Amino acid sequence: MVKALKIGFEFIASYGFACVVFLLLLLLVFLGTIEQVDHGLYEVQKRYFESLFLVHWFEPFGGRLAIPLPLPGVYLLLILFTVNLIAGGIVRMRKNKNTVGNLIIHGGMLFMIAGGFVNFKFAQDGHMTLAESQRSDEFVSYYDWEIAIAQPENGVYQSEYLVPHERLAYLAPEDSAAFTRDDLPFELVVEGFQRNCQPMAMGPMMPHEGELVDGFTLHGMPLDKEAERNIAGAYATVREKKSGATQKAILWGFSAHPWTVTVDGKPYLIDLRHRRYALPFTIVLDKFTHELHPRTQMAKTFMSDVTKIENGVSQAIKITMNEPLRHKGYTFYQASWQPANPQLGTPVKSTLAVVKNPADQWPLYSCIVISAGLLIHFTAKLLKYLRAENKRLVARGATT
Amino acid sequence: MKPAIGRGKWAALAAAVVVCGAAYGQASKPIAMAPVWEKEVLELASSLPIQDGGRVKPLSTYAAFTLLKMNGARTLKVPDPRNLGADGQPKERRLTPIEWLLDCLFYPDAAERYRCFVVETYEVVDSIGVSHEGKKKRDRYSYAELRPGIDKLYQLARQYNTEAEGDTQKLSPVQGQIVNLATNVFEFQRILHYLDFARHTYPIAEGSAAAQLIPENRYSGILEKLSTIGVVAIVLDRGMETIEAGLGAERAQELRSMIPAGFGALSAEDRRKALSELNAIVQDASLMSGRATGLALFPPTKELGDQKEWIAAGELFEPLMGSSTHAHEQIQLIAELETLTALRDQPEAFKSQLAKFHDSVVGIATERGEYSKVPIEVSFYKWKFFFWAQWLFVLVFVLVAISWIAPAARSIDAAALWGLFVPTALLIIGITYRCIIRGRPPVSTLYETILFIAAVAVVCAIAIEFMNRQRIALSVGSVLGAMGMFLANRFEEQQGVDTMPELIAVLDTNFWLSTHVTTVTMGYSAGLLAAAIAHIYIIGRLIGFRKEDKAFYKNLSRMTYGVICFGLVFSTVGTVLGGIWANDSWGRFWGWDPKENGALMIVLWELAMLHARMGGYIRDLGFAVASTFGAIIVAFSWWGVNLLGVGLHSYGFTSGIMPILLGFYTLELAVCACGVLVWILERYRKPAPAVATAPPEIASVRKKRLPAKAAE
Repeated sequence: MVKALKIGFEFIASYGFACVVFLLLLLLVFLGTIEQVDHGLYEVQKRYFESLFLVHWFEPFGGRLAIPLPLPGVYLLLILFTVNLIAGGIVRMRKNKNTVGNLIIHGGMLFMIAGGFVNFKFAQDGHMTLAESQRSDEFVSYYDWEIAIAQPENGVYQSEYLVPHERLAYLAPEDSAAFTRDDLPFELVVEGFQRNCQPMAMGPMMPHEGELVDGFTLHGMPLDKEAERNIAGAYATVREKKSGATQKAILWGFSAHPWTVTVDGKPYLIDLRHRRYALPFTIVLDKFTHELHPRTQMAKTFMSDVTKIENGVSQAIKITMNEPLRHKGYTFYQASWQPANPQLGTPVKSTLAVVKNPADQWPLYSCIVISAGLLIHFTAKLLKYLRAENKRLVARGATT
Repeated sequence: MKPAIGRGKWAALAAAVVVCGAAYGQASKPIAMAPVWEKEVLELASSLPIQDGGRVKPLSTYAAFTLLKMNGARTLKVPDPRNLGADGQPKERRLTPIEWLLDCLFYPDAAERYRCFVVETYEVVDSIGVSHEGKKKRDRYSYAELRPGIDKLYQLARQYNTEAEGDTQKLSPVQGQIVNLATNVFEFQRILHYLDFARHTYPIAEGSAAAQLIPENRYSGILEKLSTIGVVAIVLDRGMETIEAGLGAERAQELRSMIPAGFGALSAEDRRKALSELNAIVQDASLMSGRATGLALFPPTKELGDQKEWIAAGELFEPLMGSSTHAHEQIQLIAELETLTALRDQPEAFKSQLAKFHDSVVGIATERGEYSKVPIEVSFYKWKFFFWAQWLFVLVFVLVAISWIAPAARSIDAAALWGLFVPTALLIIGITYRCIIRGRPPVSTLYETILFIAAVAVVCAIAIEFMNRQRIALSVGSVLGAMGMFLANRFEEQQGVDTMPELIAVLDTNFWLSTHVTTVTMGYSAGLLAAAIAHIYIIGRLIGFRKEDKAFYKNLSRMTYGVICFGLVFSTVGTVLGGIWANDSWGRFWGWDPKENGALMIVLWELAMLHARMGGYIRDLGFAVASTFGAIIVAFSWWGVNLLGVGLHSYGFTSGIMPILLGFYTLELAVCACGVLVWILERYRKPAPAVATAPPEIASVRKKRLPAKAAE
């Protein structure tokens, strides 16, 4: 048993194992890069870089032949790489003055991978798009969806219930899922969830694939390469708990208004929308500056003058490209503006990308550690080489 | 302006009207021949500032890249009717870009017969109905030759653009060429007709009512009176009495002071006539102003406030029309250009007027703080650092090659080593010039990566040469230097756009440009240098070069290893720094963007190589093959991902380099295959007698460089 463990450890800590992992990572990164042309970054990221396994289809001869190639995903490879790095690059490695640099490099890499993992698992990202003088205390996901059920009383939202993205993300169009809470007088049944679709009005004689609600059906569309352009939709049924009576509607991510349904005499608003994250402070856009290089359409600078309001205290802040606002673990970046080519006089909205990443600065720290390690290790190597070359030249000189 | 046939006969020549039909095959109307511009004129014109592509640059730079884009070459061959050959046909002379631009501006009739549009295939001209009779498949056409097909050309270009939704990658090669040709023809028209406003005769009859209002019958005269013309037109339309009846005495007096005496007393018939005359003048001026929008030659004067956009002559018309804005200084500049245009056939007067115009424009530009870099840029292009560096690198390589053949010729050896410093210095000076002009670190565009990578490779090669004195790094350095310069030159020609463009907002950070971009490109450079040394290793082993000299190959291998280590340091640090930059600008450290992935691929490959070497899976030959393959990965990261057209690094997207890139991949794969062949051959070959005890090769030792004690 001990021998088997030892062999296993030797295997996983070996240079050969490291090489295989590096080469597979290289292959995956290459394939994932090429695939982005046809499938866009979001899909490729999910399939190649955030997966344990995948099947890559080689399609030579203009797609007339399709050859499947099963491969480990980058996620799995990074786990294997981490194990190899710990086993071979730290535990097994001799600890002496010659390996100090290497140990530091490997330590820095571990820290960086840890940062990547924390980011992957715990980061929240989205955007906040504001016109001048608008304010917000939440930001919106680019890709994730949620269903919000709100109950207004006297025009004020008393409470909001959410069906989170995680419950919707894996629903296929043929799936049906029911959601409820004890304090809700109905259950919400979601069917035919599609990640990219559009409601279409159907005449009585027109053939249609899905259900028909008030003369409309959801028309599924292929996923867009730019994933943020996908608009989700689903059929929703409200089934009253008391009577079993049902009401049906289409929920669509781009609807101008939520679906209003009355149950037990109370109105409820049901909305399929991009996931929202609450902020512990408010941001007000005071001014958006968008400057082009003279006589071109090339952006020279764009920046947002904002006010951060927290506990009644206001603070004026400037957010510009490469100079984000960092506060309480949230970072606000000047991402873009809308519309892209505004006409004279059109109000322009500023889009701030918002990220909450507990490992925000870890790459910087690991970069410093890795750089130090590389410097120590390769300087030692260079000095050794120079000494050897000097000896060689001296020896040649002596020979002549 | 220097005459081609005797200085004193210039005026006669310049005034001469010649028929160029014989030279151009189709011209039939007499055209004014453009002169040979004097050196002083060219210098003055070259250093005139112009705002283009978002920055103020010398007119010569604008001319150079405009001609390069149209013509596919830096100079233009034109027939010289002054200089006839034995067969009676005009000989050709080469125009520099600034000469070409001056001809276009001041002698448009002659310039439209210059064959300055390069067309790659017959299909392009066929599709617009222009004959290609007597032309080669890739040939140059003049504007006059293309003129019958220009409407069709624009129509097709619009159609293709609409179909491709502005994405040039969706265009077929021929469609792309049609769109390019349309763009070039449009740009040419803007230059050709730019000074039409100064050449045009406006319909202001002598002694007429309009002549009272606009005493100077030229565009600047009309501009000066534009705000008054509007008032006068109303008076002429309605009659002075009618208008005055609705005004108070004070306003009426004010109105009378604005219009020339006698206008109020015109009969109704004369008023109609005068109004019609004024309308015709304004329409003409408006038409001419529409043609003069191409070149933003005029820095805004203080009258126009804090305006960043320079203006073209025609762009002043609309703001002044019916406005009370004063722009006397601005109009004065336009008047100077008009005078210059009128003096085109009087060389001395033209020169002094150009100097006056130059001083006026430069004065305003200097006051605005926008001129200081212009003379530096003029001198940068004048010195042609990279051109000379290219050929000196070639020369050094020739010297190194001779020293390989004749190892005893130490003077050649020394000349090669020290000679390599000259092109390297030129290259570094050129890069420094660019840094000063742009106020940026050395690398901020794809073009600059070529220069920087070549410079780093050569400097590393020199350092290695001084470390081991094998002449290997010297050879590789000179070859990489020459190839780098050649590539930079070709890329500039192929793209045909200013290589010092303004940067988009995300790149506007000298800190990240000087850290991430320089380190990551140093990583590219090291990867390519290692591959070049590995080539010598593989090809040497294949052809049996110095096959008994194991030390030679060991040294090559050590060099490759050292350079890969150097490259790994910079690639790793550069890639991580890129992530940190991305975290500050786009909100994420790593986004699997193609450019990021390309850099990561280099790091992964070099890590795999080093670990495989440490684990004993590959030895010297394997390491050489792997280093060679590394060049393919570097090329993919450097150029290949830019062709994909996806990702956030859109400022680096490029096109038109696929054939060269595929050729490079093929070449590198062939060298890798050679390495594998060496491995197969040596594996099955009878082992050679051991040569480990063979003495080192004496010929490669340079005594005088050894420490004195050891040499004794």
